[in-house]
Parts: sequence; C-alpha cells; structure tokens
Amino acid sequence: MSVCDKTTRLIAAAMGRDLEPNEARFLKEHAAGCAACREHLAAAGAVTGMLKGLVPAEADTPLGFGDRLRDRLLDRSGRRNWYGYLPTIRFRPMELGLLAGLLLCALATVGFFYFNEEHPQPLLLTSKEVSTETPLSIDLEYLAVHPIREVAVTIELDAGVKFHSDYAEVAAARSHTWTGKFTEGMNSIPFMVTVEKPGTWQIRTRADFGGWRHEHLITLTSTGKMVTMAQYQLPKHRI
Amino acid sequence: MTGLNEKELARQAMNGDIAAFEELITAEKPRLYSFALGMAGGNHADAADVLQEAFVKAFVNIKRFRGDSSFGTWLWRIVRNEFINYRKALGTKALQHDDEEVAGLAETGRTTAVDELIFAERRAKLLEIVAMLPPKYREALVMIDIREETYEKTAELLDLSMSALKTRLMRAREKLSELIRKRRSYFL
Repeated sequence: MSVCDKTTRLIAAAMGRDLEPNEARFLKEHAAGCAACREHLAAAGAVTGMLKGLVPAEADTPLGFGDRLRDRLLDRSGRRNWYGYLPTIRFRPMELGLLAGLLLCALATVGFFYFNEEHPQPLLLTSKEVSTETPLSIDLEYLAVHPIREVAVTIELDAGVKFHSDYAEVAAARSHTWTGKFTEGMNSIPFMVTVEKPGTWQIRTRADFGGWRHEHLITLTSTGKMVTMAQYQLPKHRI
Repeated sequence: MTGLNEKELARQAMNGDIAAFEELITAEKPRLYSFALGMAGGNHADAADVLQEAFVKAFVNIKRFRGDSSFGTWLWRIVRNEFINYRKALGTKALQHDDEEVAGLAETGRTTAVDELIFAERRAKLLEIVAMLPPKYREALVMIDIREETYEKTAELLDLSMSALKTRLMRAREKLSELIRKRRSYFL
C-alpha cells in the first residue's frame, strides 16, 4: 500500500470522524508535502459537509406515483372491476357494531310501520261444524254491481274431498268450472262436497269478472265423524 | 387513516384489499422514497420505479409477511432487495461524468447565483458518485451519512449487527474516498 493509498483510508476515517490523534497528525503532515493528497483531503472535507441531507430524511413521491401504483396493484389483484374503483371504507369492530345497530333500528322502524298499516287479509265469511255423514253444502257468494254476461267459477278440491253429485263424472272430478251469468246484486253458486278422509283439506275457488279475480279458500278439518268448515274470501286482485 | 392496527390492515391486504395495503405503506413511504432517492443517485424516475416495483412485490407476497418483524421492517427488506435486482438488471451502469463541464463550473463560480448553481451541480454529482458504490455499501452510507438515521435504526432496517454495520460504513467511506480522489476537482 502506497502512502497515498493509506491516506485515502485515513481520509475515509476522517469523513466519519473516526480518526485517531496519531492518524490525524500523520495525515496533516503527509498532506502538507503532497499536493494530490492535500486536494483529496480538501475535496473529502467538502463532500462530508455535502453528504448530510443530500436527500431529505423523508421525501414525497413524485406526482402520480400513487395512481400508477394503484393501477399496477389492480392489475396484479385481478380486481379491475367497476367496484374496484370505488373508495374502500373500512370499519373498526366498534364502528361496524354501531352501523349494524343503526341498520337494525332502521329495519325495525320500517317493519313497525309496515305491520301497523292495514293490509288486505283473508276475510272469514262463515264457519260451521257438521257431521261427516251428511254432505256439506257450501255457497259461494259474489256481489255484482251490474249484470255480468259471462262468468266462469272454478272450484278445485284437495284429495280428501269429493263433489257430492248424482252425476258420476262430476263426483269423480277434482275440479269443476261453472259458467253462467251474474245479475246485479248478490249471486250465489252453491255446491256440495263430502269429506272422505280425516285430516285438513282445502277447496280453492276463483271467479273472474269485472276485470278482477275473486278467490275463496275453504278449509275442512275432519276428525272422521265431524268436520269443521271455514270459508275465507281472499283479497281480490286485477287480472 | 382509519386507525386499524397493522395486523388487521395486513390481514385485509392479504385478502387483496388494495386500500388496506396502501394504508400499510403510507407511514414508511416518505422514508423509503428518501432511501430510494439516495440509492438511485438522486434520480427521481429510477427511485420511483424501484420503489413501485418493490411495493408491487410486497403486495403480491404479503402472505409471506408473518408479523415476526414490523411491516415497515419487512417492507424495507423488499425495497433493499429490489435495489440489488434493479442494479443487476441494468448491469453495472457506468455513470457518466463530464469532468470538463464540472471543472469549468468551478472556475467560473463568481456570484452567489452561480455558486448556488455550482453547489447544486456538485450535490448532483456527489449523488451520482454515491450511486457507483456497491449496494451493500451504498445503503449504509445513504442511511447514516446522508439520511442521518441512527445506527440502531439502520442496523434494524438493514438487518445487520452493529459491528457489521460499522464495518460496512467504514468500507463505504473508503470506497467513496477512492472515488473522490479520482474526481477531486469536482469539489474544489
């Protein structure tokens, strides 16, 4: 190692303020007689001053850095959907709980007003209990505000119920459609059924006239000997 | 800041939540960019490129973050590795120095404005010279001598023992001293 090479190492130590007193003395003496090392020492001194804060300890990234990064992250995550561009909102558990609570309150309020409002419900028209030994007579009643020339009333039975009729084909049928006309005022369509098996059965009827569908639901609950009949008028609706 | 802790943000980022990842890197970003600038010889384009690449790698590999160290420390490691890869990819890019231009500037420096210009030019040249150091020496020099980070923090971020850091720093200064000796006219 030449003397000047040794000086280079000492100058490096001087840059870090790590020079021993004897090394400092050697460097000073050598530099006094060596122009190159003297210049080197001077340059190193200037550089040491410049190094500090050569870049700030914290620096802002260039404009657009964040956008470009997000773009690349979206590419890598495969989430380049329309919702990927929406700002993401994250919540702490407490905030999430509060939000859930508020949502529940809102739902409860809506529910309260909804269920307190009057909604069309099935209307119980008649209810009676009769023996299963005799046929059960049922009247379907319809109010017509003006004469209706053509009306079709369809009656459909569950498996445990049969039409009571002298006509074998009617008695064997599971559904029957009555066609006719209505006069102004109350119109009655009577029919008879027998309940053949114990259990709960239904009869559904529909009549289309005046642009509305009128429906009835008849429930028959048979114990074997007695049958309880309840007839409901369902809310009519547009057809 | 949403106030979510680092663990929770990392968990969300692992599930692909980009916003959570962005929040995770927010705190370290200014320091990492400063480091990147020092490592890239003051070149903003290079610094931003490397940092962006490192962030993308961190996002892709976030499932490997086990929480043994802080997320910041883990991120620093990725940025440092990226600088090593970056330099390899470029090859040992020889930084061009126009000796005559700098020497000329030094001779014509007479007024304050010109002095400032010379000073800025010298700083830029010094950063270029720093960028000529091998990455392992450069990062020690950038952290301690340029960014004036503490030895303790630097040792933690560079994953070195204190004595290893001091040795590296000494070697970095020696190499810098050699480079300066060859270009001493820039700084006189």
